[in-house]
Amino acid sequence: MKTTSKIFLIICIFWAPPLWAEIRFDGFASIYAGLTSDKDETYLGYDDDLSFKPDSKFALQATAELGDGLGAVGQIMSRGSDEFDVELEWAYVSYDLTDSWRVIMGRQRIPLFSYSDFLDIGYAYHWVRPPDNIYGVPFTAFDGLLNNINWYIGELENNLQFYLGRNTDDLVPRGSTESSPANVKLLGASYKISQDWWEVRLNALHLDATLEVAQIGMLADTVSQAGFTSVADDVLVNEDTIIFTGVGFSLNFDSVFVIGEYTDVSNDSPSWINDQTNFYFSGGVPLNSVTLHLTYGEQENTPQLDALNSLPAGVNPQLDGLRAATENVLRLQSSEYSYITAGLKWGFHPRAVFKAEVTALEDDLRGNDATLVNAGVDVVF
Amino acid sequence: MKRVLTFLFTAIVVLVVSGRLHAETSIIVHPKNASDLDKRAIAKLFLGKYKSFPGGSKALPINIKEGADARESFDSSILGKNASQLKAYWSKQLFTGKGTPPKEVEDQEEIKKLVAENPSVIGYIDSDLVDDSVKVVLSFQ
Repeated sequence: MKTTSKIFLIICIFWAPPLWAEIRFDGFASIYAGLTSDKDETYLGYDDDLSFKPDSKFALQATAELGDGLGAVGQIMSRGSDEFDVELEWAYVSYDLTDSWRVIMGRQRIPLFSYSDFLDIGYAYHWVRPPDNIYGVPFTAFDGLLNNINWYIGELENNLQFYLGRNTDDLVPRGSTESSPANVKLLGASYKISQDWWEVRLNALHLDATLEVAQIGMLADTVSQAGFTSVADDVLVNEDTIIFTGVGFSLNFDSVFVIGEYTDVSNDSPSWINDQTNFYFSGGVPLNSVTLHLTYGEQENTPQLDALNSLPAGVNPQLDGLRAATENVLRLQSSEYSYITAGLKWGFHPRAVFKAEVTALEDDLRGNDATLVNAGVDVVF
Repeated sequence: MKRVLTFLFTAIVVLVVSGRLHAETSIIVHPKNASDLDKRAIAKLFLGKYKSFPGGSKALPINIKEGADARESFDSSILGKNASQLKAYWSKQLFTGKGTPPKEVEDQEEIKKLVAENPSVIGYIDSDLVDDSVKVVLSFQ
């Protein structure tokens, strides 16, 4: 659907609501500028020319309460990283089975890690963006069904979410710059236990993923033709089982907060998709309306080179070439880096925050170090 | 020296008097609402964590508009959060489909009227405005 017709559709739905529906409109926007410190450095979509695109976005949401626990939400968003094209980000119907059990059906955010479901709401966290080593996953939404259940044990607040669905959007996998057709089936759960000042979160997500990356397809064809069908199987992402697991915590004292997350991505069988481990720790000190913060994180993506065992080395130059090409493709997603982010958040207005931060990336694998500086505002309205 | 003392004395008097002037606020429900509500339960209702009164009947919390004195003292004394923390909290809830903030009304007389008419409604007004049409469950400064 064209952008204009999407907007038209949204306006039609919400412009003249039926009398029995209560509709509220809300929105948020983030406008960030950023640049890297050197002409050779590219990081998170930035280079040494000042750019507003990678982290700027604008969203409008209509929430309809239809009574007796029934609700409907539509959210459209325009992202700088997507050339400010307008996309329907959320569109779902919710129904409260009980006071504490809500079922949500439709297009929604995957509640994968601690900040996943409000990833775009910059106003609600201290960074310009949640740590990219964990949150830079290639897709963040799904179409399906989610259960959200809350209950108390004394003063302990418990929240369980479990969901299933799929995502058939084209995506840009890590290690690639082109968007590829994908078909991902999801089955996941997250559990959070919290009290006034602390929170612990656990999550698991089972993916059945098919990803048609052109480069891998070409390689698979070539190795198959050379008689190595098992190698083709080990390289292709075809109904591969991928498991995401994670644990997170947050401690909030009056004068300081500390949060951290550890996540793991593993594959059931050899695949182009890397096994990954990620973590970060972040701490901050709120001083009236200003918060100073510091974050350290690491990522390690390990390629699975099992496929190479089936390709003999040193037999003939042609086979060696094929082996080298296979290894090259398998290593596309590999990474090993750490970063430090230091920044400040200033609540200069009840509905707006100003943020400025510096991230220094140390790339241990390829030496693509970078320093990124960002400043901008997040607004809710 | 005398001037300094006079200044300090005046400052103290002003502070004490303005403290006194800071009105007491009462949290009110319908006279027929027999719910036993403490500060924690009230906070959970206004944060959307509880949707019903302890007795099981539906609760409809109503806020006075942002910026009103009663709102600020309710947010800090009962919810224990400042305006921007609450804004962040409700942004998360709202934009992830977990809940919507309580409805807001313009003036306190309207809150009193809504509470007097509807056993589901819970709100707060200056204690001076309280009359027989509503029941006070908690008062705070």
